[in-house]
Amino acid sequence: MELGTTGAILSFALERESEIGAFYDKYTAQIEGSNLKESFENIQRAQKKRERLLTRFRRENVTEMILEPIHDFESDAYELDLTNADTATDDSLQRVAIMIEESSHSFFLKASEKTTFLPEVSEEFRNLSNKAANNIELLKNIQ
Amino acid sequence: MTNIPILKNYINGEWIKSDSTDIREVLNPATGEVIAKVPMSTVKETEEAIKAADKAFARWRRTIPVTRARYLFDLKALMESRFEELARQVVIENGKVIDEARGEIRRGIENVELATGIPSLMMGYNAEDVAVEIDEMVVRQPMGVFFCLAPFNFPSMVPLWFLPNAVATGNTYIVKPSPIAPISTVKLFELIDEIGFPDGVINLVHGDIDSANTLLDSPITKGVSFVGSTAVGKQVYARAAANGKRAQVQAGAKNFLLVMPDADLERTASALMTSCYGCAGERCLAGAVILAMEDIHESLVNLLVEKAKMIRVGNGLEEGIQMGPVITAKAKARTIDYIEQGLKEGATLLLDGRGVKVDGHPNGFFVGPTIFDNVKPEMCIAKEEIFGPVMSVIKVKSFEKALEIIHANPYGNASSIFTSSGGWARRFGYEVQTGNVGINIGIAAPVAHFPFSGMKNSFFGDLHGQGRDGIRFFTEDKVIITRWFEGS
Repeated sequence: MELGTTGAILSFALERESEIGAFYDKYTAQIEGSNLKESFENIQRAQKKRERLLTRFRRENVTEMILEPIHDFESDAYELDLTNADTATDDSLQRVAIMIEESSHSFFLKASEKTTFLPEVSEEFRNLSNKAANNIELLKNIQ
Repeated sequence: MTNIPILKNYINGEWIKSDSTDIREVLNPATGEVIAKVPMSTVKETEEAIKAADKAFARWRRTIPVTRARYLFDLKALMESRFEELARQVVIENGKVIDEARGEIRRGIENVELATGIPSLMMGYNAEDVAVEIDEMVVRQPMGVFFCLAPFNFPSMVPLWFLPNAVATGNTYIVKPSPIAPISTVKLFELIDEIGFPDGVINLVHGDIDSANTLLDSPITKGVSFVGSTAVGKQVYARAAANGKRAQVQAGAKNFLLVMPDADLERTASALMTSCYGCAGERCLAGAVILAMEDIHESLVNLLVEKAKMIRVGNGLEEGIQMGPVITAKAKARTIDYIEQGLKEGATLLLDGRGVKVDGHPNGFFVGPTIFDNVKPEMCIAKEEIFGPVMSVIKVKSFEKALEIIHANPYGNASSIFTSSGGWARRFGYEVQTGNVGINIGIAAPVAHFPFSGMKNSFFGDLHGQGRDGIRFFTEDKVIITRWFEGS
């Protein structure tokens, strides 16, 4: 799907968050007593906050004055399908989480580039992209 | 057809079925389907709404402003919680795209938010010792029953330009929505009902000319807020004045956008897309005529065509669609007539929106983005309000010539300049005779705490909607001069 408007980007972002949220909710509860659990708990908390932020942005930052069309931004590359992901072990969960965060990192970066006409939205997308990059580092460094 | 609901009036805190036999269909402009039926309420029903509002006024004006504001806090909270639902309803009956509808609901909420500050906003002022031991003060008092005659193009936002300030200041209110797009107002009233405003404080009457005239002729009503065409606006203004009422009449427009040689053309062209094609051109702030300075005319036009061709036209409910249909088959035909008129008058049609087709929507009222070049100021497409997605480009030799063209037009709603020069920007803002001015902004839409201005044939009245004007319109200044005798 072409993400041709700011609202389309935000709505797609929220769809992704819904899936990501379900993933972290399920597996944060399942993992027992490891460093991975602590990292998942942190990412889960941040994910809830991010979802609220994106919902707020869709309500409050789509302003009538500036609604410019957006081109060359397809959702396909950023769609997540976690139904068949390998979640059997902590290692495989860690790999899935890294994949999610890498996808989020590139998605939010692209979203930031495409919404420069709404500086506040663009900056926040960039911020979320940076946070996803931090999560990747965090997950990769789990012993 | 049997399951199509007939909309009800909301009078004195109750949903009431109209006895009218004049029932009209409300269509989804993207599909052409009937989505509701709306009654043209009888004179008696409209009078009942006026009576209910009048009866409620005595108590409501004594309700302290903080309490009145709390009802509006509740309205804001409910609107936030139903935000997407409200936005989708606007799309379904108006056709604009979902982002535009979100923008509309947000603007409506901003007006509610503004009115929650009424305890401060409606304060008067005072002075001690205007004469020996005499003090003087001004209080702003509510006046009674006000009403608005709302248009189809912002069915949720326009009533909210007025209603929050009206009731926050202690008046009671009646909304008559457009019969073409009344459902969004009904949705708003469902929230008003849920909050439990006291009976009669806010009322809804569906209808057309008869209802409007009943409201205008009533000796009870104190003022009208109108948004619509200049032709109707003039009649509303004259009738309100003849009946001794206050009126704020926001009327038609033909908005000019001047692009200077030093403008950032890429960003300007993007802004012009949203200005001319946003809401399918059905905004009173929509850009209509681009005044392109000679030096950049060709490169600007090339960019405009390139960008306009990429606009995705379709059902506004689909995320990513960038332009929806116009409101009715009649509006579509009217827009096409203007395109044909432009051709007859010798303008060059660079992009033709007449034949646009949208998959799965054979009955929608779609017109694609249209661009005319080599337009002359005397052509109909350069002078008259089309209210459709038609952009006309006029090549101009100088800033002065551009102003001359703008000023020759009878409308004065909005205009914009695109430039990187502070000097040009200031001069434009200083000299141009339009009420709303954009500097590198395609849609110069004032936010809730500023008045929505307008000049010439685009506004009739003294006090505009929104901002401080919006508070003053709904209040009357009373001067109280006080002396206390010693010992009393």
